[in-house]
Amino acid sequence: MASKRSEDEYGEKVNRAIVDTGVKMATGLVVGGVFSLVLFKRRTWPIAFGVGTGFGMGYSNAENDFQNKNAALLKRLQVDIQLHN
Amino acid sequence: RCMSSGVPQKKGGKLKWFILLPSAALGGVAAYGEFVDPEVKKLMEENVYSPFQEYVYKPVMDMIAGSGKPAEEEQKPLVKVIPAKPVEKKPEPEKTAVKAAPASPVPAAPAPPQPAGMSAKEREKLDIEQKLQQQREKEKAENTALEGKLQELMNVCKTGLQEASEIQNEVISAVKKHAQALQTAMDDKTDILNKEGQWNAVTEAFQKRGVVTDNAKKVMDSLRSEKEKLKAMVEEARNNKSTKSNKILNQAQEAYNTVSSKLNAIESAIAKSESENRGLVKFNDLVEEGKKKFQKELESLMPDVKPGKGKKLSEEELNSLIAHAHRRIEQLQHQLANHLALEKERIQEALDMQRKADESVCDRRIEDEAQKIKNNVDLEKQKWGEEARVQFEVELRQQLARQAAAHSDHLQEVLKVQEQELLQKYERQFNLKFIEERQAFQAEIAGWVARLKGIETAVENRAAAEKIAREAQDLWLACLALNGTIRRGKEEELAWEERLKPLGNEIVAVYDAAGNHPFVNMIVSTIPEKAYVRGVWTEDTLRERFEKVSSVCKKVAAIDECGGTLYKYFISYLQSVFISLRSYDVKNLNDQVDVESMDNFEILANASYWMDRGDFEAAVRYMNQLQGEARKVAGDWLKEAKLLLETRQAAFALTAFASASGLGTVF
Repeated sequence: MASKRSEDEYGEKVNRAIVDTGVKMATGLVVGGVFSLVLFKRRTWPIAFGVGTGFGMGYSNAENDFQNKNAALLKRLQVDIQLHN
Repeated sequence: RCMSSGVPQKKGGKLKWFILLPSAALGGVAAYGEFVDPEVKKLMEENVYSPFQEYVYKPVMDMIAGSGKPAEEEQKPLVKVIPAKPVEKKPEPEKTAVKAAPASPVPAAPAPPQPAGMSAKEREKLDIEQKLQQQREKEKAENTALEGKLQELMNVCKTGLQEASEIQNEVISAVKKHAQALQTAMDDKTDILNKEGQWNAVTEAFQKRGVVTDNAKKVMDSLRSEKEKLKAMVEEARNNKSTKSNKILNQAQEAYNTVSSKLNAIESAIAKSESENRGLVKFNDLVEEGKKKFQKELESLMPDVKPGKGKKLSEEELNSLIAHAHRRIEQLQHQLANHLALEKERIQEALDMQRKADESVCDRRIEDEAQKIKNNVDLEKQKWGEEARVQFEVELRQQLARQAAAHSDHLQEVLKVQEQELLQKYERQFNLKFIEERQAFQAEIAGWVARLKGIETAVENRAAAEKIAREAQDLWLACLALNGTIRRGKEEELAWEERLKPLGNEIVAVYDAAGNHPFVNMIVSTIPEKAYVRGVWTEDTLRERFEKVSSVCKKVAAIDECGGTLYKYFISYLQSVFISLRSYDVKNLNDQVDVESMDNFEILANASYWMDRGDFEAAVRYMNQLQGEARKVAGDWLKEAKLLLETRQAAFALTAFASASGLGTVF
């Protein structure tokens, strides 16, 4: 059932990103809401903050997921070597 | 009509037809058999003539001829009933031999049931044997008949002889009695009163004597005739060569001799007694004559006087009677004196006569004796002759046996020598022929062996070729199987991954089918292990997968391998939305491609173009030029596609090889 096909990875990544972001945003919402309720006398900004934080975290995760830092590093190094040579 | 003729006629005269028609039929068939068809004649003889002969003719002839007459014996059996060869025979039975009749149906019976399948020689032999047998039987029959007849005759002669001797006695006694009676009648003076009675007795005795004499004559005549018959038969038998040597002839001869001698004796005895008593009879006759004369004279003198009867005689008559008587006495005295005078002469005459009679009797007796002696001598001669014959026969047989033995010995020797010679000749010839034959045979065999060898080699070559062909076929089939598996995989599964079928079996099959061919070995070794173990994606599935791959690659086409920020991804996605792959010009396959100048989109465009056109390999080649993230995305697919291509290449190589080798063997 788990398809390890490389072309599906993109799709899965996208799914994960969306899901992750969604979840984080929801969580952020909830936490923000809680915070808002508990600490911040029902202000709106903790919710937004939470959602935003959630979105940000998700986005960041997604980006990390999508990126391949090792390859980038290698490439930079190669370029540097080339430049050196 | 019944009353007019004495016999009632049945059905108006049809009786005659009952007789005429069958006889006409028989006659017609007999004529037909005689002149046209001998088979019919044979049938007739079998079924009509011989029963008729046996049951009708023979009894009738027996009744007519009486029993036991030997006349038939003289006739040879003129006819045989059914001979083996067509010996002609009269249709009417002509033979009258009593004994031959039962003898001839006997050879008839064994003759017809002759086995048909006998050769001519055997048949001749059989005929000769049969003839001999028939002759022997005939002789035997004749002999037995002769014996029977002779025996009968001898018995008859014996009984006749007995009879004759009895009768002789009777006759002699009768004659004696007669003589005695006569004597008493004439000389007896005491009993004058019974003279008539005596004379009656005399006449009686005479009559009796006459009767007895007749009887005796008859008997002797018959006996003589029998004796003559016997003699004739014996002579006849002696002349007939088949019955010449019958022992009974001697007996018969002896019997004849005895009979004839006895008969002669009897006759002479009777004649003697008769002659003895003749004198007396003569005397009586004379006396009678005298008496009669006297009576006649008396009657002439005294015609009406009957002696001893009636009235008394007158004196005259008495005187005349006395005178007559005296005259008569005188006359008689005269006569007596004459007689006395002539007595001596008379006596001499009588003696002479008697002597003559005696001489004749003597002659007869001498004749008889001579005859007897002659007969005895004949008999002795016969006996000696037979003995001598027998002895000669024995000696002759001995000599013949010796000669035969010598001859047979000689024959044996000669045969042995000849056998040896022939054996040698035969051996020589046989060896020669044998050697010839063997040589010819060997030559032929050599030829055949050479041919056989040729055939063998041809067959072997053919077998080798066939084997190679078979192997090639096997290889080809295995390659085909491989190809098929590569093409189809596990067809019943729906998911792409499950379609993978490990190619291990097929490849092993190919490997086995190829024997130990180096080319096949090499090719098989190039097949990647994954194909063995896991199997390869089929082209169809890869094509299906390509859709997704292409679309994903298109989405990430602008991203290089470092990955990218989400922003980059988004931009790439946006770009992909606006770019259509069809807008690119596709390069021909044979053009040289500068892969550096192509960006992912172009590559994808080419790849998908060629994939749509069915050229998987070109598509794969283009896909291989992808860079960056697109490459990563298409990585798996590419791997599978490369695997497939490799395996397929190997499989095609193998198939080509199989086809090539198979093709070589087909022609």
